[in-house]
Amino acid sequence: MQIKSEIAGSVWKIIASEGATVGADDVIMILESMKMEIPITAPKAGSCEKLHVSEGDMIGEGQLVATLKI
Amino acid sequence: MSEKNQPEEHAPWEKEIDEIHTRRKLAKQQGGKAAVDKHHEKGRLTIRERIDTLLDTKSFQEIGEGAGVPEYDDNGKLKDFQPANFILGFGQIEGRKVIVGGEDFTVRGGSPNPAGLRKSVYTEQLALKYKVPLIRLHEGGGGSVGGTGNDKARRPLGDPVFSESRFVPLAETLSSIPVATAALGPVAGLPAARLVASHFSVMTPNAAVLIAGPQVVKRATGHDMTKEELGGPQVHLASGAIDNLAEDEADAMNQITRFLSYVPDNAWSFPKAIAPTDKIDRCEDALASIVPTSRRQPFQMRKIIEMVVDQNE
Repeated sequence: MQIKSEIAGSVWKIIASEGATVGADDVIMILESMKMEIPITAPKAGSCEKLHVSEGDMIGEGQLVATLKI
Repeated sequence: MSEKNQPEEHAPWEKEIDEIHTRRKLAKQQGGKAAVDKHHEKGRLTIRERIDTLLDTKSFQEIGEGAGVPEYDDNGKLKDFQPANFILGFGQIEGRKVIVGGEDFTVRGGSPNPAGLRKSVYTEQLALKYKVPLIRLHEGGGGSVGGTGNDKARRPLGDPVFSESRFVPLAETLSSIPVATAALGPVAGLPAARLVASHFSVMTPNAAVLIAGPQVVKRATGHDMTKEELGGPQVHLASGAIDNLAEDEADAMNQITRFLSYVPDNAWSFPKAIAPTDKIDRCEDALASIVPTSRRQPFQMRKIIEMVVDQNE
C-alpha cells in the first residue's frame, strides 16, 4: 500500500523504521509544513516495507513517502 | 342630487375576472408540456413539484400566480401568456411557517423575465416582513446577455434609478431570518448570487453553480469548458461555496428541513427546545488531552465539536 503526502513540506522526523510493524493510525513520519508538525499515519495495520524519503527532504503534495505491507 | 351627477352604468368586470382565472390556469402549464417533459427527462423536478416535495402536504399558498407577460389579439382577448418564471408563496415545513421560492427553468431556462425578477425580489421582502425562514430552490440563469431582439417577453429588465437595489433585501435577510438554499440544476448569475447568500446551501450531483455559463466564458476567455468543469459538485466541495452535496433532490429537501430544525424563525425568537438525549452529567475527559500543548501540532476540531454538543447532533 502506497502512502502519499497530502501536503507539501519537509520531512521533520521519521518515526517508523523500515521493517517495523505499525498499527492502524500509527504515525509513520512527521512533516513540517507552514510551521506545523503534520503527522503521516498508517491507514491500516501492517509493516513498513520501504521509506522513500529521509529526514530533511523537501516533498511535494501527492508524493510517495512510504510503502506498507498489509 | 342632479341627474348628471349620477355615475354612468358600469360595464361588468367579468372579462377582467375571467382573464385572472385564465392566467392562473395558464401559469400552471409553466413552460408548456414539451419544456416540462424535457426537464423531467433530465431527471429533474419542476419548481412546482419541488415546492410540493419540500412543504407539508397541501400547505402551499401561492402568491402572484397570475403575474406574467400576456399577449392579446386584435379584439383585446388574451391570446397567450408567459408566466413569471419565479414561483413563490407561504407554506409549512414540519408545521412551521416559511416562505419558499424558486426559478421555473421550463420558462426561458430560469433566466428572469420581468415578472419573474420582480417576484424573486418580492420573495425576500415578504420573508423580511413576516420574519419567517426563507427557502430558495434555485435553477436558472441570470439576465440574458444575448440581447432582447424583437421578442416582447425578452424586453430589458430595467428598474427605475430610484429603486432600492435588489441586493439590499438579500443582505437584510441574512441578519434577520434563516435562509436555506438549494442548487438543483444549472445556477448562474443572479440566482447564483442568491444561492450563496444563505446560511445553509446544498447542491445535487447534477447541479452546477457558475458566475456565468460556458458561452459567456468562451466569449470572454476563449476557453471551452463544460458547466460541470466550471461549477459542478467537485468544484464547490473544494471551493466551499456550497455547504453540502445531496444524493438527490429529495435528500436536498430533507437536509433543508433538518437545518431548519436547529434554528429559530428569526433573530428575535428562540429555537424550539427539544428534550436532550445526553445524560446530564456527561463528561468527556478526552477534551483535556485533545488539544496538544505544543502549538506546532494539529488537532481534530471535529472531535472536539462532537464531544461538546449533544451526541449525534
